[in-house]
Amino acid sequence: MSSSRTRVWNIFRKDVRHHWREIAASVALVAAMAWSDISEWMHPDSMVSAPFAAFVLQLVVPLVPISWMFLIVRAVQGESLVGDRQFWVTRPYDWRSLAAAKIAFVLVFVNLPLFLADVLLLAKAGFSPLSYVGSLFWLQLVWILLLFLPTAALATVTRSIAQMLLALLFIVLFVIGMSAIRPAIPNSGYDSDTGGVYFFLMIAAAFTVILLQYSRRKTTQSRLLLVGLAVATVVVLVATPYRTLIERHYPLANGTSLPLQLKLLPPEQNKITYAGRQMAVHFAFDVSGLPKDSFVVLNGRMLKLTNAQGAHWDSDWQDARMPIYSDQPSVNVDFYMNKEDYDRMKSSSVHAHLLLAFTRFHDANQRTLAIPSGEFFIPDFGFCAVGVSWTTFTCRTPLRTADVLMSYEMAASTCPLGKNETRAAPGEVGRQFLQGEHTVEPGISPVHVKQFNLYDWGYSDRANHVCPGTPVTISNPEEAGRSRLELQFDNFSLADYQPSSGVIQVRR
Amino acid sequence: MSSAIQTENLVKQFHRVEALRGLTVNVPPGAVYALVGPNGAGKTTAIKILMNIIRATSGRAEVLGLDSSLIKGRQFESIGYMSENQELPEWMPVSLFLSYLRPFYSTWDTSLEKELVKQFDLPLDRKLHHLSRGMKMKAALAPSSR
Repeated sequence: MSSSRTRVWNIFRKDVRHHWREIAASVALVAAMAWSDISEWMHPDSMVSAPFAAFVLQLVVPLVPISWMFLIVRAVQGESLVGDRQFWVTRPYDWRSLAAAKIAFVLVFVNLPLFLADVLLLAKAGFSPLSYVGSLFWLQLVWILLLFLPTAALATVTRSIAQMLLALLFIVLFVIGMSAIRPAIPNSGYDSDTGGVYFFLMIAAAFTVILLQYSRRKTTQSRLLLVGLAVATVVVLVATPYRTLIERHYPLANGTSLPLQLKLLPPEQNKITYAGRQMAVHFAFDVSGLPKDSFVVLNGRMLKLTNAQGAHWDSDWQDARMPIYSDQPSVNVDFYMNKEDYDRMKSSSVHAHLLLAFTRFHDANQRTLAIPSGEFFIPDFGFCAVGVSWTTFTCRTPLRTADVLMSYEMAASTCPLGKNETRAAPGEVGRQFLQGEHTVEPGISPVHVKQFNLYDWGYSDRANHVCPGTPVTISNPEEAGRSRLELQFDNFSLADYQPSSGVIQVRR
Repeated sequence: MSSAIQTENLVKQFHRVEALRGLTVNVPPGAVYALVGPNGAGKTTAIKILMNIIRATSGRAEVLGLDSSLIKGRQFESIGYMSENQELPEWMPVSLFLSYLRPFYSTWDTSLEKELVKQFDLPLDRKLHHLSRGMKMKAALAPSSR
């Protein structure tokens, strides 16, 4: 064995001997998490009948990453990189050997148990682990980049667990501060593509700090670098041109790329209601122009109002995440206005500019099956079973899944009619669209539990349940593009919207 | 190599405080030197510069013919250094401390190790944490005296 390998092995063995209790606790928590997950799928009733045990097992899930963080911090701080009084600083330690020993420690006692648990969970859930090897390695990489690397970076600039906790407290306060200023920054609440920028900044800073500390032990510079990361994060939050990014992400639809046609329904169907100190504005639209094998998801919405005096009100881009199907007659789009803004805008007629961001989907691979009793398999998705309430499908899915749209003709339900229920009329459809996981989401377990709720809330008096034998249509929609629709309405007079018993009728 | 340690006009400044002013010293191989001076004279600072724990503001320092700012890793196989405020892995028993350090040195002298353990009367099974300050110093000195 070469001398550098001997050194790595020597430091590694020392760390194992020193931290065996933490290692045992962490591995036990991963095993408990795996057992808890398996119990939840295999014996869901036992989780209900033993709520205390279920509660304890639920606690295990957040404890697993905490135990990993603790283990990483202990291993790194075992040879503290802060200060100059450590005995090893003047011994034949080579920084590469030291860093390699710590990396080996994390790979063996954090990554490997997680990998083995994931393989076991996939196999127990009925999925072949060999089919998901790439995804399993990707999941490991996600954990390394999102948690292990930043934790190790913090551990290299702190001397003790107490200092580490103080650093974490600063981070929590920083995140709270960022969340507090976010609402003041227009459009920043909408899901834009800035997550990747934050991710890149964090990884780059963490990697640089670790390299700087191990190779040169420049603690002051490393800490300043982390402060710089915080400043850069604030700059990105404040300076990102969110509106431009969103509008570039959703190009304006023209004649041929119009995703659908929306016609504002007569005013009496519009209404403004009080919602606490805010006014909720409901726009109701007639939906047409969607091909039968297509649907859209309304991802975002924005409303701009301008009155005759030139005063403006702008809702900023807001998340919507609402599917609109071809057989759907109408859709509601809601906004909330402060009472003060409403009072400011109501004095004269208003010009309304409504912007809607859509993702278009083309329905593909459509097939119909009569729901079997017990568990059944949906290709590219997972194992599903009808829930006790007959309105939900509970499914076990692996790391990556396709998009799935599940729907059924409510009139074809094979469930017995309940008290005060009538059979639904033909054409009434219950359905749910679940967007799949095309990239591997960070999660401790590679098996996710998802629910399809096919209940149609608009028909509470109909028998709209799914029972064994009910024909259900399953398809795998494919994304067909994104676009933005802009609608303009003149001569809205908010002053005419008179409150009456909490509901304001619209007159135009 | 004409000198084991050689410094020329060594200066170290911590912001406005001058910790070391123009130290020039020459220690020939095989000699035993004691660095003596009042508190704040810069003895520890000089040794830290020689061990590349801190950098000199100006001047030159060499240990075993090598610029002290380049001393790291394997060079410490030929240098024995211990200080009174060194942080040791206190959880380790003395025997483990010695056996842990052994593989880092290609020229470890086991018979000298045994001799020093006997001479210092080191309790091999006791953790460093439970040793008196003096015994800790001896435990740190043993692997520094190969």
